[in-house]
Amino acid sequence: MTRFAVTRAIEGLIVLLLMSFVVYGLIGLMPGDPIDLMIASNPKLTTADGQRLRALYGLDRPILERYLNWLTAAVQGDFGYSRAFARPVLELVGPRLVNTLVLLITALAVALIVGLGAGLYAALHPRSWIDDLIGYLSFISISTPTFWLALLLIMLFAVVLGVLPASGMPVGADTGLAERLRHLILPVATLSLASAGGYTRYMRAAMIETLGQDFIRTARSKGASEMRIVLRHGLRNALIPVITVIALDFGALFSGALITETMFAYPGMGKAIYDAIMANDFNLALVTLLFATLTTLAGNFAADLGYAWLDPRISLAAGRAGT
Amino acid sequence: MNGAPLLSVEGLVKHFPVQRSLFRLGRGTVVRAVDGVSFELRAGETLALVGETGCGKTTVARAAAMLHRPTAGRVRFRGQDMTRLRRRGLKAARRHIGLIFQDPLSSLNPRLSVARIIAEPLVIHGIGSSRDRRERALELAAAVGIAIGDLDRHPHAFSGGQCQRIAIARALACDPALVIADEPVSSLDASIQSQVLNLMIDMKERRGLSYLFITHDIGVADAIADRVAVMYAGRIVEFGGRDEVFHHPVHPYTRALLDAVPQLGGGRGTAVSEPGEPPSATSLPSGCPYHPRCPKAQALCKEAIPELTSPGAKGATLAACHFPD
Amino acid sequence: MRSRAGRLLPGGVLVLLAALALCAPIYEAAWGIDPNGVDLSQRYGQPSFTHPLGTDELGRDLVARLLRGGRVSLSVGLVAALMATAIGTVIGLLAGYFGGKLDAFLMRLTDSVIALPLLPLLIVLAAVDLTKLGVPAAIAQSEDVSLYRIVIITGLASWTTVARLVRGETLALREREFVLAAIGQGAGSLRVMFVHIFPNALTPIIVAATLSVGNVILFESVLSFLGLGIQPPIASWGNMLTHAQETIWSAPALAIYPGVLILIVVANCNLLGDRLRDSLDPRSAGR
Repeated sequence: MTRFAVTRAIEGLIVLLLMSFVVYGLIGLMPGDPIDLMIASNPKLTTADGQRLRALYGLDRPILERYLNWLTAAVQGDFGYSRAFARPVLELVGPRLVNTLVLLITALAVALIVGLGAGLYAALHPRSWIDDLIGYLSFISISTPTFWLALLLIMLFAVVLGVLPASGMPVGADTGLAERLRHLILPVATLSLASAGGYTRYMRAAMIETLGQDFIRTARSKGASEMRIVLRHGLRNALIPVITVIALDFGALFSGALITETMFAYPGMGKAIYDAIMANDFNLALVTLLFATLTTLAGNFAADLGYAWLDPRISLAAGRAGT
Repeated sequence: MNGAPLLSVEGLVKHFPVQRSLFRLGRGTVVRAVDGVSFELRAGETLALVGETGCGKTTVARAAAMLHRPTAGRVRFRGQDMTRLRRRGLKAARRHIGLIFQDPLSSLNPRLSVARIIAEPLVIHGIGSSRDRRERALELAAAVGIAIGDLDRHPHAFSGGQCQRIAIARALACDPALVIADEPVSSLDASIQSQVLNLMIDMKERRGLSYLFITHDIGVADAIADRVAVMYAGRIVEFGGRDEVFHHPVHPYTRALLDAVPQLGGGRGTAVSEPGEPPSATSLPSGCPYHPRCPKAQALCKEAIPELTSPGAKGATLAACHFPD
Repeated sequence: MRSRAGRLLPGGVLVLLAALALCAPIYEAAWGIDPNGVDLSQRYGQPSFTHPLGTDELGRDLVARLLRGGRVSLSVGLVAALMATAIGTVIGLLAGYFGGKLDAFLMRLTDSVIALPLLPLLIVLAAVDLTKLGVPAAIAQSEDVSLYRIVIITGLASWTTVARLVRGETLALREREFVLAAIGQGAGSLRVMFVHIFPNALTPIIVAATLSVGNVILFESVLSFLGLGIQPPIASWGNMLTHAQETIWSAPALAIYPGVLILIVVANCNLLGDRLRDSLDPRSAGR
């Protein structure tokens, strides 16, 4: 188990390193140039000053060297300054990461309860009208663009009914918990509705497959109660493939969070990434992107551990190699 | 039947790792499919490899065709060590080896027309123009008894026997010196079996072929083979001329096999089987692998693996047994 | 829906929508409408004979915009899905055929890409300044470049499903006797992969391609919505929604139509993919 965890952690680190290099390179390709922006904003600076600044910041060095310099500083906790906020990037990331985690975890919990519950119910009552309804709804869920779902919810709850705020999570210590929760309802609803359909489909398929297998028939023939069969034998085995798929879905969940945060002006990582890219805030964009990757990798890792816990018989690494 | 062997297999070993994980966390066990097999096939002869399912005969055939890289040992074809050949050399050698598999339908690409299937070896080796190849395909189809008008149809339109005829035509497309046939008739109906077998015998005589013929059916081996190698648990236990092996067996396993056949050369479909289970290739017994089933087993058999040697004055037969008949 | 006609219904819906989108020029000619023609005197026009669904925030005819947007969204979806399928097929074939370390590497790569938060990365890719890559400014700033860029970006994001699927098929086909026969006859790796394995894996590949069309259209719509995909004045269903958040109070219809069309197209792609899979794989039928 320890060995497995260490292997996965090292792999995660490698992915993160590769990501940081790719993103570092891509960010350098974004429009605008920090020195040009400085010159534009300060009329006293001349082109010659620009050249000197470039040399000062090492911007005339080859990309690999600049990346290694950045990496050395980053490893020591220096991620640079945000241009747009004029503050150290790390200070900006902290509260946003917390907000995003609140959104992600709440939405994931809601989506799992709704999705796994609906999928389980549908699998136990196949071909009933409720199964059909669940099927249609989950189909709509996976086929609807998340941003449009957010628009619809805003339209319904903020415009037509006027009961919930459409945007702008208030920041500041004086905001009450109830007010914060009110602002969380629509974003969580959007993100969980967008993910629940997929989970429902995985769960239903896995459960139907499991219930059709020999060991379930054996348990039935031995006279085990239906409840016991479903919970003890069926669910545990059906959850194994479901967890694998959900783990692979964490990236998509974060993508959904980015849209949701942007739509509801929710001050999280996703919105920070989008805003930073739009504002040419290189340092902030780079760091927020890396933290986003770290978040999904951590989620993945947690799901892998859950997988191992559910199915100790299967060698930990083989479960992924065999897919 | 002159001097140098066409194909010689020396000390062939093939182990398949039972892979447990991507990172090899568990020390995976190995399946010892073939564990030291040597034989020679002379030009113009048919050598039958006989044995029960799982004895490693198919692995030997596939290793001889270099479809598996052997774990150890050599495969010499016309004196050339195929295990050492790189891509180009191997391709050149393969031109002279034809292959026939067990499942006739599965051995033909369902997406290609029969004409393309038969002509494919010619395409691979760049022989002739496309018109030449078409002509050659027609000629081969006629030789194996496939109607010319059917050549543009796809494999699923044909019966098992016809598919095997097509596979034979393909195997012969480049005029090979050697044909390796892995259970070519065992999935066919009894009446079709003898037709296909007769076609193979006929082709051999007309084209001067040699066959490495894999079968679990003693009757089939008796009908086609010049010499016979009996395999058990990844090794050859008895090797000799067809008549000696089938009429004067010296290894107790061969005897048991023959006893299970009602009348030799008579009934078809006489599968090799006998009481007891062959050992699992992942955990072979110590000593002679046959000892747990052998009526003549003694203390020595549990300890030492017998070598394949000539058991005294009994002619040219070789046997791997401490106490041969 | 068990009948053959019922199974193919989603395909019919898609063909119908595509046909409608192709008819955009006919509609424009018949009504005498310029789909990109801004007319500020006609902003937020109500449905009328001259503008059957009304006009948008710049006074452009909504029907014409929707049809033009459909052309863009559907063609981006198709082309990018084809590209994704091609990439996924090659990676899956290589991994499954050669096995060993290459397989382990490629599948690790695929799993990593699946696990990444793709949308933020796509946003970065969409924001990349092409002139910094040495693309001449004249090309980089032309209108059509946003089309090619979005095709490439969404294609790059969608190959993973195909790759995993093709790898699985290749592993199974690699042991089939006709493949062994081809290898044994001396066929080279390329020939074995593309003459023998690929054609026999075609049906599941088509299923995956169908599913990825829906996926690509979703990616395209969100990137265009965020202003990073198809650039105005070219219409796409995604960028027609860009200002919906402001217009939602005054003209909610503008936010409804493009979204409904995206939903219909994506749902029908998914449905068609599911149906195709069920009819190919008897084991999963009835799911």
